Amino acid sequence: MLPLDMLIEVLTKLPAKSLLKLRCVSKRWCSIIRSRSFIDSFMSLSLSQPCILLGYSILRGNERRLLFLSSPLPHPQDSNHSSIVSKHDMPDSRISRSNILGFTSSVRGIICLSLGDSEFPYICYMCLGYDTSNDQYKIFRKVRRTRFGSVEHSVCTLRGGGGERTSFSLWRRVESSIHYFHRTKPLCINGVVYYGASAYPPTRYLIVSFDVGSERLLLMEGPPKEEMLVHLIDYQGKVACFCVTIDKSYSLWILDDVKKQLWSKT
Amino acid sequence: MSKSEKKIVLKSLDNEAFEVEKAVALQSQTIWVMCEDKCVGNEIPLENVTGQILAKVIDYCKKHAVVDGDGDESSEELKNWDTEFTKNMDQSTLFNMILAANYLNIKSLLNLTCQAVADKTKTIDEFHTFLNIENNFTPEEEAQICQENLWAFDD
Repeated sequence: MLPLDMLIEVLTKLPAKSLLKLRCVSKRWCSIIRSRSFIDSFMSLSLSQPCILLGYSILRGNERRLLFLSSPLPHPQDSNHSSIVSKHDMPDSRISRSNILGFTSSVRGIICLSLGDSEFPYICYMCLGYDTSNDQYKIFRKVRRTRFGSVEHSVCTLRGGGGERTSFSLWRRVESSIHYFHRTKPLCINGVVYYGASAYPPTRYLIVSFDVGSERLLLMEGPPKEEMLVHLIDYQGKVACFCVTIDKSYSLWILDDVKKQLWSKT
Repeated sequence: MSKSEKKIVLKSLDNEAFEVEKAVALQSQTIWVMCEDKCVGNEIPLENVTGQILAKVIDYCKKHAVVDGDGDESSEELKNWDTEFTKNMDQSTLFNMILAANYLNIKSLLNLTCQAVADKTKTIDEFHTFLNIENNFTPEEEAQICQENLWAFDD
């Protein structure tokens, strides 16, 4: 029989699915697994492992269904087969055909989806951010009233620990007078949400950054527009732009210094 | 440095003596601290580890002392070696390895052995035995917890 601290060490190495089942083992284990300290150590361990998440929707008749694939498998004993993909069916993911469904991003294991009505006149862009210092999730959104109209930014805080107990605060306005069109899906690194954008003048892309803690919006210069900005990725804790060049090769621009806006190309 | 200074003798709970290279033994933070403090001679008594377990710990340390710091290919090889190392250990050996790794403070071995136990424990029943506890939930309470995350139970 192992002492308690060693047992907890073992538990942090289990897949999340097993941990959810394990809560039924006893009251004591249920409270350990739900405790803040356990969740934190489990989280830091699983965040240190590389993972790709793919989300896609398929249309069947009048219903749209969401499917998710992740790779590599969360079970380390299968780490020799990194090509194996694990499939996650989302419960109640059937949505009517007239709705526009977007898989916006995933932050610390939470998948953020946006559901809009195609009849709705606003053009809305949403992202989920996590404020590392205050342990808070916030939703940041950009709304454009008309196609070329001005942009409004606002933010709201998620309360509660997820599931049915989650509630949302009112939307708070974020001051900005920036005019741009977003180009990529958002990415959240260390309490800052980033996404690629384009604006006038047309020589360089812009990277919009939103500090989730201080709720401040900033613009940075991104890669030059000779290349096509496709996607933002987390490259060892740095923002990187995955671009396609004119001759159909790929390049990766890495933001080495956020303050000096220093980029390097690989 | 003379030959005798490079070697160190580890003595198990049941008085089995193992002579190993110092670089091998120093992967244990506990032994490292003992040597730094010069509170021990060339022979270190390890009162919490049996000879059978200590032999395995030394195997692990020997393997990792040689290969550490080399290129990618050897780290791949090391990973395979680690998998083989824990593959055929039974639960009680693994538990003793965890305790030894914790006592000797060898972080990578602790991670490896805890992971091995986690990988070998799959069903709720296995956890009941492994955690050695009785279920003290009422059926209603258990059903409610299951209800919160139904997807985790559909295998």
